[in-house]
Amino acid sequence: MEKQAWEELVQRLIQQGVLRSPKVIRALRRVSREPFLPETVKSSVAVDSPLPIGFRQTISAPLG
Amino acid sequence: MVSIMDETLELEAGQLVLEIGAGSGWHASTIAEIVAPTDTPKREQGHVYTVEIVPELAEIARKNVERAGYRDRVTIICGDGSEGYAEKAPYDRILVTAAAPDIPKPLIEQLKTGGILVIPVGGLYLYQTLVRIRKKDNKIVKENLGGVAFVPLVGKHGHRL
Repeated sequence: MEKQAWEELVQRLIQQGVLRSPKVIRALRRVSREPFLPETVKSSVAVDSPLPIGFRQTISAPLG
Repeated sequence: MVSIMDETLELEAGQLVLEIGAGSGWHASTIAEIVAPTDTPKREQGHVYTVEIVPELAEIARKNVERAGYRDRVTIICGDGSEGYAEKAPYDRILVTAAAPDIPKPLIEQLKTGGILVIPVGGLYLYQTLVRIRKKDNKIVKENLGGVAFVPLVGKHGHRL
C-alpha cells in the first residue's frame, strides 16, 4: 500500500514538472521516505509535506 | 524540497557531496543513489558526507542510512555544519537543509572551483530564499531560486537562537 502511494507521489511530481531528470526520478523511486520516518508519522509517508522527526526538526517534503 | 534541491544541484555519478543538516538521513540517501549508484564500479562512486548538530538525530540518521543500505556511501558526522566539514574538502556539491542568516564563508571555501552550493538564506521562520551559488575561477555567481521555508541553521555561522 505504502509502496503504491509513494509511486503515485513520484508520478505526480513528474507530471508537475518538479522531477525532470531521469537520475533524480530513479533516485526518488528507489529511496522512499518511509524507512526514514519515525513510527508516529509513518502513515503520512506520501503526504507531500514536511513531517516532524523530533528535536524540533523536520524531514523535508518530497516537493513543498 | 528534496526533489527541487536534487534537480537544482545538477548531481552526477562520482561527485563528492557535503550536506549540512542530516536530519533523518533521507535526503543524503537520495543523493547517494545518484552520485554513487550501485551499478557503478566502487572506485568511480561518489560519496555523501552529512553533518548533523543534534547528536540524537545523528544517531537516528546513522541507523536509518544503514537500514536503507547506504552506509558505505553516506557518512554522518555529528558537529557544527555551519563550519562545513574541512576534513574531506573540497566538494563538488554542497547543500544546506536549514536556513542560514547569510552564506557561511567556510562553505564557499570548501567548494571546488566549478562546484555548486544550494542554500536557503533568510530570517528565523521568516521568508527565506533558496540560493544557488556557482563557484567560478575568480568569482561567485549567485541565483535566487524562489521562496522556501526551512528550520534555522544553528552554529557559529548560523542563527543565534
